[in-house]
Amino acid sequence: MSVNAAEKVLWLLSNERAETDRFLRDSEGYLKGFRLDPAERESLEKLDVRWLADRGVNPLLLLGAYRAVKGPDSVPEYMRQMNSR
Amino acid sequence: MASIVGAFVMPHVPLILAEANAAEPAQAARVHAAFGRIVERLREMRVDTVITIGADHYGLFGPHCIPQCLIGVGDLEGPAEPWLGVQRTVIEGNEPLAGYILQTGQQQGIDWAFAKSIVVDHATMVPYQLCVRPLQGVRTIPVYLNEAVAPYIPSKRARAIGESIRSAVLSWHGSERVAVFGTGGISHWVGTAEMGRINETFDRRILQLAEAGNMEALLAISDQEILATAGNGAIEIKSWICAMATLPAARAQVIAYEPVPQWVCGFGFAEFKTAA
Repeated sequence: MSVNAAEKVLWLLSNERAETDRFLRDSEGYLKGFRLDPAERESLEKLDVRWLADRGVNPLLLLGAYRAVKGPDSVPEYMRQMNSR
Repeated sequence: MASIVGAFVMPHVPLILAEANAAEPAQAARVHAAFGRIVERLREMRVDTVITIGADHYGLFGPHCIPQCLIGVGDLEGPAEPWLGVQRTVIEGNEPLAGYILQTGQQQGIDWAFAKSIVVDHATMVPYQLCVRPLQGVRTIPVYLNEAVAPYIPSKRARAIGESIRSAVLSWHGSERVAVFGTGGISHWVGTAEMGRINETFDRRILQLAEAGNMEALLAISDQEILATAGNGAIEIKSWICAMATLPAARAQVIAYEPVPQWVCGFGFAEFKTAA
Protein backbone atom coordinates (compact mmCIF):
# COMPACT_ATOMS: atom_id res chain seq x y z
CA MET A 1 0.00 0.00 0.00
CA SER A 2 1.38 3.36 -0.98
CA VAL A 3 -0.17 5.88 1.35
CA ASN A 4 1.75 8.58 -0.46
CA ALA A 5 0.31 7.79 -3.90
CA ALA A 6 -3.20 7.47 -2.50
CA GLU A 7 -2.83 10.80 -0.71
CA LYS A 8 -1.61 12.37 -3.95
CA VAL A 9 -4.83 11.30 -5.66
CA LEU A 10 -7.02 12.38 -2.75
CA TRP A 11 -5.35 15.77 -2.45
CA LEU A 12 -5.95 16.44 -6.15
CA LEU A 13 -9.57 15.38 -5.84
CA SER A 14 -10.00 17.61 -2.79
CA ASN A 15 -8.38 20.70 -4.17
CA GLU A 16 -8.42 20.75 -7.95
CA ARG A 17 -11.92 20.93 -9.42
CA ALA A 18 -10.68 19.99 -12.91
CA GLU A 19 -9.14 16.80 -11.47
CA THR A 20 -12.37 15.97 -9.68
CA ASP A 21 -14.31 16.45 -12.91
CA ARG A 22 -11.91 14.13 -14.76
CA PHE A 23 -12.34 11.54 -12.02
CA LEU A 24 -16.11 11.84 -12.19
CA ARG A 25 -16.10 11.42 -15.97
CA ASP A 26 -13.81 8.37 -16.01
CA SER A 27 -12.48 7.24 -12.65
CA GLU A 28 -10.81 4.12 -14.04
CA GLY A 29 -8.96 6.06 -16.73
CA TYR A 30 -8.09 8.84 -14.33
CA LEU A 31 -6.50 6.48 -11.82
CA LYS A 32 -4.31 4.90 -14.50
CA GLY A 33 -2.20 8.03 -14.25
CA PHE A 34 -0.98 7.10 -10.78
CA ARG A 35 1.31 4.40 -9.42
CA LEU A 36 -1.24 2.36 -7.49
CA ASP A 37 -1.62 -1.36 -6.94
CA PRO A 38 -4.92 -3.04 -7.88
CA ALA A 39 -6.36 -2.92 -4.35
CA GLU A 40 -5.54 0.75 -3.98
CA ARG A 41 -6.98 1.52 -7.38
CA GLU A 42 -10.21 -0.28 -6.52
CA SER A 43 -10.52 1.46 -3.13
CA LEU A 44 -9.99 4.88 -4.67
CA GLU A 45 -12.40 4.20 -7.50
CA LYS A 46 -15.07 3.23 -4.99
CA LEU A 47 -13.90 5.85 -2.48
CA ASP A 48 -13.78 3.13 0.13
CA VAL A 49 -12.74 5.50 2.88
CA ARG A 50 -12.81 2.88 5.62
CA TRP A 51 -10.34 0.66 3.76
CA LEU A 52 -8.07 3.62 3.04
CA ALA A 53 -8.25 4.90 6.63
CA ASP A 54 -7.30 1.47 7.93
CA ARG A 55 -4.15 1.68 5.85
CA GLY A 56 -3.09 5.02 7.29
CA VAL A 57 -4.40 7.52 4.77
CA ASN A 58 -4.90 10.95 6.35
CA PRO A 59 -8.56 11.42 7.35
CA LEU A 60 -8.52 15.11 6.42
CA LEU A 61 -7.90 14.11 2.82
CA LEU A 62 -10.45 11.32 2.94
CA LEU A 63 -13.18 13.70 4.09
CA GLY A 64 -12.15 16.44 1.67
CA ALA A 65 -12.03 14.16 -1.35
CA TYR A 66 -15.29 12.45 -0.44
CA ARG A 67 -17.12 15.78 -0.19
CA ALA A 68 -15.55 17.01 -3.41
CA VAL A 69 -16.61 13.90 -5.34
CA LYS A 70 -19.94 13.09 -3.68
CA GLY A 71 -21.11 16.59 -2.84
CA PRO A 72 -21.30 18.78 0.25
CA ASP A 73 -24.26 16.86 1.71
CA SER A 74 -22.42 13.55 1.70
CA VAL A 75 -20.93 13.74 5.20
CA PRO A 76 -23.56 11.45 6.81
CA GLU A 77 -22.85 8.84 4.12
CA TYR A 78 -19.12 9.30 4.74
CA MET A 79 -19.62 8.72 8.45
CA ARG A 80 -21.63 5.57 7.79
CA GLN A 81 -18.76 4.23 5.71
CA MET A 82 -16.16 5.22 8.27
CA ASN A 83 -18.07 3.39 10.98
CA SER A 84 -18.65 0.23 8.94
CA ARG A 85 -16.47 -2.77 9.66
CA MET B 1 8.80 50.56 19.26
CA ALA B 2 6.39 47.79 18.34
CA SER B 3 4.79 45.73 21.06
CA ILE B 4 2.67 42.64 21.61
CA VAL B 5 -0.28 44.00 23.49
CA GLY B 6 -2.31 40.82 23.69
CA ALA B 7 -2.62 37.16 22.86
CA PHE B 8 -5.79 35.15 22.46
CA VAL B 9 -6.82 31.60 21.69
CA MET B 10 -10.00 30.67 19.90
CA PRO B 11 -11.46 27.96 17.65
CA HIS B 12 -11.45 28.12 13.88
CA VAL B 13 -13.89 25.32 13.03
CA PRO B 14 -15.27 26.15 9.56
CA LEU B 15 -18.79 25.05 10.46
CA ILE B 16 -19.16 28.23 12.54
CA LEU B 17 -19.50 30.02 9.21
CA ALA B 18 -20.39 27.23 6.77
CA GLU B 19 -23.21 25.79 8.87
CA ALA B 20 -23.98 28.80 10.99
CA ASN B 21 -27.49 27.64 11.88
CA ALA B 22 -26.56 24.09 12.85
CA ALA B 23 -25.76 24.77 16.50
CA GLU B 24 -28.35 25.25 19.20
CA PRO B 25 -29.15 29.00 19.05
CA ALA B 26 -28.32 29.88 22.66
CA GLN B 27 -25.01 28.07 22.46
CA ALA B 28 -24.20 29.65 19.11
CA ALA B 29 -24.93 33.03 20.68
CA ARG B 30 -22.45 32.31 23.48
CA VAL B 31 -19.80 31.33 20.94
CA HIS B 32 -20.34 34.52 18.98
CA ALA B 33 -20.33 36.54 22.20
CA ALA B 34 -16.88 35.10 22.94
CA PHE B 35 -15.62 36.19 19.54
CA GLY B 36 -17.26 39.55 20.20
CA ARG B 37 -15.43 39.86 23.52
CA ILE B 38 -12.14 39.41 21.69
CA VAL B 39 -13.14 42.15 19.24
CA GLU B 40 -13.84 44.45 22.21
CA ARG B 41 -10.46 43.69 23.72
CA LEU B 42 -8.67 44.31 20.41
CA ARG B 43 -10.43 47.66 20.19
CA GLU B 44 -9.52 48.54 23.78
CA MET B 45 -5.89 47.57 23.14
CA ARG B 46 -5.84 49.65 19.93
CA VAL B 47 -4.44 46.69 18.03
CA ASP B 48 -3.35 47.44 14.47
CA THR B 49 -1.80 44.11 13.47
CA VAL B 50 -2.95 40.57 14.19
CA ILE B 51 -0.69 37.55 13.80
CA THR B 52 -2.84 34.45 13.31
CA ILE B 53 -1.23 31.12 14.14
CA GLY B 54 -3.13 28.16 12.78
CA ALA B 55 -3.04 24.82 11.05
CA ASP B 56 -3.27 24.04 7.42
CA HIS B 57 -5.72 21.18 6.91
CA TYR B 58 -3.79 19.29 4.23
CA GLY B 59 -5.36 21.62 1.71
CA LEU B 60 -3.13 24.64 1.12
CA PHE B 61 -0.14 22.36 1.30
CA GLY B 62 -0.26 18.89 -0.23
CA PRO B 63 1.80 15.72 -0.38
CA HIS B 64 4.21 17.59 -2.66
CA CYS B 65 5.28 20.02 0.09
CA ILE B 66 4.36 20.19 3.77
CA PRO B 67 6.09 23.07 5.55
CA GLN B 68 6.53 22.74 9.29
CA CYS B 69 6.09 26.48 9.72
CA LEU B 70 5.17 29.10 7.17
CA ILE B 71 4.61 32.83 7.29
CA GLY B 72 2.69 34.87 4.74
CA VAL B 73 4.84 37.86 3.83
CA GLY B 74 3.05 39.20 0.76
CA ASP B 75 -0.34 39.14 -0.94
CA LEU B 76 -3.12 37.66 1.15
CA GLU B 77 -6.55 36.49 0.08
CA GLY B 78 -9.13 34.15 1.48
CA PRO B 79 -10.85 31.91 1.99
CA ALA B 80 -9.47 29.02 -0.03
CA GLU B 81 -12.66 27.05 0.60
CA PRO B 82 -15.59 28.08 -1.64
CA TRP B 83 -17.96 26.30 0.76
CA LEU B 84 -17.03 28.41 3.80
CA GLY B 85 -19.82 30.87 3.15
CA VAL B 86 -17.51 33.86 2.88
CA GLN B 87 -16.82 35.61 -0.38
CA ARG B 88 -13.16 35.54 -1.46
CA THR B 89 -11.58 38.83 -0.43
CA VAL B 90 -8.22 40.55 -0.28
CA ILE B 91 -6.82 40.64 3.25
CA GLU B 92 -4.66 43.56 4.23
CA GLY B 93 -1.28 42.29 5.40
CA ASN B 94 1.65 43.88 7.15
CA GLU B 95 4.42 43.00 4.73
CA PRO B 96 7.27 44.92 6.41
CA LEU B 97 6.70 43.35 9.81
CA ALA B 98 6.04 39.89 8.36
CA GLY B 99 9.30 40.09 6.43
CA TYR B 100 11.14 41.16 9.55
CA ILE B 101 9.71 38.25 11.56
CA LEU B 102 10.93 35.95 8.78
CA GLN B 103 14.44 37.43 8.75
CA THR B 104 14.71 37.50 12.52
CA GLY B 105 13.59 33.90 12.75
CA GLN B 106 16.15 32.80 10.19
CA GLN B 107 18.90 34.41 12.26
CA GLN B 108 17.59 32.54 15.30
CA GLY B 109 17.48 29.13 13.65
CA ILE B 110 13.82 29.09 12.65
CA ASP B 111 13.65 27.61 9.16
CA TRP B 112 10.60 29.50 8.06
CA ALA B 113 8.94 28.60 4.81
CA PHE B 114 7.35 31.71 3.42
CA ALA B 115 4.61 32.59 0.99
CA LYS B 116 4.85 35.68 -1.19
CA SER B 117 1.21 35.12 -1.98
CA ILE B 118 -1.23 32.86 -0.23
CA VAL B 119 -4.94 32.16 -0.24
CA VAL B 120 -5.57 31.39 3.41
CA ASP B 121 -7.91 28.69 4.67
CA HIS B 122 -10.40 28.70 7.53
CA ALA B 123 -7.68 28.59 10.20
CA THR B 124 -6.97 32.21 9.33
CA MET B 125 -10.27 33.12 7.77
CA VAL B 126 -12.64 32.29 10.63
CA PRO B 127 -10.75 34.45 13.15
CA TYR B 128 -10.30 37.11 10.48
CA GLN B 129 -13.97 37.19 9.65
CA LEU B 130 -15.18 37.22 13.25
CA CYS B 131 -12.47 39.20 15.05
CA VAL B 132 -10.44 41.27 12.58
CA ARG B 133 -12.90 42.27 9.91
CA PRO B 134 -15.24 44.05 12.36
CA LEU B 135 -12.37 46.43 13.13
CA GLN B 136 -11.11 49.05 10.72
CA GLY B 137 -7.57 49.08 9.41
CA VAL B 138 -6.21 46.08 11.28
CA ARG B 139 -3.62 44.19 9.27
CA THR B 140 -3.06 40.43 9.33
CA ILE B 141 0.04 38.24 9.27
CA PRO B 142 -0.80 34.56 8.79
CA VAL B 143 1.39 31.84 10.27
CA TYR B 144 0.82 28.16 9.58
CA LEU B 145 2.20 25.30 11.66
CA ASN B 146 2.07 21.69 10.51
CA GLU B 147 -0.60 20.27 12.76
CA ALA B 148 -2.33 18.16 10.13
CA VAL B 149 0.16 15.68 8.71
CA ALA B 150 2.38 13.46 10.84
CA PRO B 151 5.12 13.99 11.83
CA TYR B 152 3.61 17.14 13.28
CA ILE B 153 5.64 20.13 14.34
CA PRO B 154 7.06 19.38 17.80
CA SER B 155 5.39 21.38 20.56
CA LYS B 156 8.74 22.74 21.72
CA ARG B 157 9.32 24.04 18.22
CA ALA B 158 5.94 25.76 18.33
CA ARG B 159 7.07 27.46 21.53
CA ALA B 160 10.39 28.48 19.97
CA ILE B 161 8.55 30.01 17.02
CA GLY B 162 6.36 31.99 19.39
CA GLU B 163 9.42 33.25 21.24
CA SER B 164 11.04 34.22 17.95
CA ILE B 165 7.95 36.12 16.84
CA ARG B 166 8.03 37.95 20.15
CA SER B 167 11.67 38.95 19.85
CA ALA B 168 11.11 40.11 16.27
CA VAL B 169 8.15 42.28 17.13
CA LEU B 170 9.93 43.82 20.12
CA SER B 171 13.00 44.68 18.04
CA TRP B 172 11.04 46.05 15.09
CA HIS B 173 11.49 49.77 14.45
CA GLY B 174 7.82 50.35 13.80
CA SER B 175 5.16 51.32 16.28
CA GLU B 176 2.71 48.48 15.68
CA ARG B 177 0.43 47.27 18.43
CA VAL B 178 0.27 43.54 17.78
CA ALA B 179 -2.12 40.85 18.99
CA VAL B 180 -1.38 37.18 18.47
CA PHE B 181 -4.12 34.60 17.87
CA GLY B 182 -3.55 30.91 18.56
CA THR B 183 -6.37 29.32 16.61
CA GLY B 184 -7.84 25.84 16.63
CA GLY B 185 -8.75 23.04 19.01
CA ILE B 186 -9.64 22.04 21.50
CA SER B 187 -10.85 18.40 21.22
CA HIS B 188 -12.23 17.33 17.87
CA TRP B 189 -11.92 14.51 15.44
CA VAL B 190 -11.79 15.49 11.76
CA GLY B 191 -12.66 12.92 9.12
CA THR B 192 -12.25 9.96 11.46
CA ALA B 193 -14.92 7.51 12.58
CA GLU B 194 -15.21 9.49 15.83
CA MET B 195 -16.02 12.81 14.17
CA GLY B 196 -18.54 14.60 16.38
CA ARG B 197 -17.04 13.34 19.62
CA ILE B 198 -15.85 15.94 22.16
CA ASN B 199 -13.67 15.23 25.21
CA GLU B 200 -14.72 17.90 27.68
CA THR B 201 -12.39 16.54 30.37
CA PHE B 202 -9.38 17.01 28.10
CA ASP B 203 -10.56 20.46 27.06
CA ARG B 204 -10.95 21.67 30.63
CA ARG B 205 -7.52 20.27 31.49
CA ILE B 206 -5.97 22.30 28.67
CA LEU B 207 -7.77 25.43 29.82
CA GLN B 208 -6.64 24.86 33.41
CA LEU B 209 -3.03 24.43 32.32
CA ALA B 210 -3.30 27.62 30.28
CA GLU B 211 -4.81 29.45 33.26
CA ALA B 212 -1.95 28.25 35.43
CA GLY B 213 0.56 29.34 32.81
CA ASN B 214 1.95 25.82 32.91
CA MET B 215 3.79 25.75 29.61
CA GLU B 216 5.92 22.77 30.64
CA ALA B 217 2.84 20.64 31.28
CA LEU B 218 1.39 21.61 27.90
CA LEU B 219 4.67 20.72 26.21
CA ALA B 220 4.71 17.37 27.98
CA ILE B 221 1.47 16.18 26.38
CA SER B 222 2.57 13.86 23.61
CA ASP B 223 1.07 13.79 20.15
CA GLN B 224 0.05 10.18 20.80
CA GLU B 225 -1.90 11.18 23.90
CA ILE B 226 -3.60 14.04 22.08
CA LEU B 227 -4.61 11.82 19.17
CA ALA B 228 -5.90 9.07 21.45
CA THR B 229 -7.86 11.25 23.85
CA ALA B 230 -8.81 14.42 22.01
CA GLY B 231 -8.60 13.67 18.30
CA ASN B 232 -6.50 14.75 15.36
CA GLY B 233 -7.98 18.26 15.54
CA ALA B 234 -6.64 18.74 19.05
CA ILE B 235 -3.08 18.72 17.71
CA GLU B 236 -3.95 22.37 17.06
CA ILE B 237 -3.19 23.18 20.70
CA LYS B 238 0.34 23.66 19.36
CA SER B 239 -1.00 26.96 17.99
CA TRP B 240 -2.01 27.82 21.55
CA ILE B 241 1.50 27.01 22.75
CA CYS B 242 2.99 29.21 20.05
CA ALA B 243 0.69 32.13 20.91
CA MET B 244 1.29 31.67 24.64
CA ALA B 245 5.05 31.88 24.04
CA THR B 246 4.72 35.35 22.56
CA LEU B 247 4.02 36.74 26.03
CA PRO B 248 6.43 36.10 28.92
CA ALA B 249 5.03 34.06 31.83
CA ALA B 250 1.64 34.14 30.17
CA ARG B 251 -1.47 32.99 32.00
CA ALA B 252 -4.85 32.60 30.41
CA GLN B 253 -8.08 34.18 31.48
CA VAL B 254 -10.79 31.99 30.08
CA ILE B 255 -13.41 33.87 28.10
CA ALA B 256 -15.65 30.90 27.37
CA TYR B 257 -15.80 27.17 26.92
CA GLU B 258 -18.54 25.58 24.86
CA PRO B 259 -18.66 21.97 23.68
CA VAL B 260 -20.71 22.23 20.49
CA PRO B 261 -21.58 18.81 19.05
CA GLN B 262 -23.18 20.24 15.93
CA TRP B 263 -19.92 22.04 15.19
CA VAL B 264 -17.98 18.90 16.18
CA CYS B 265 -15.62 20.61 18.61
CA GLY B 266 -14.94 21.74 22.15
CA PHE B 267 -14.56 25.50 21.77
CA GLY B 268 -12.09 27.22 24.07
CA PHE B 269 -11.60 30.99 24.19
CA ALA B 270 -9.05 32.74 26.37
CA GLU B 271 -6.94 35.83 26.65
CA PHE B 272 -3.34 35.49 27.73
CA LYS B 273 -1.86 38.05 30.06
CA THR B 274 1.64 38.36 31.37
CA ALA B 275 1.71 37.41 35.04
CA ALA B 276 2.29 40.42 37.27
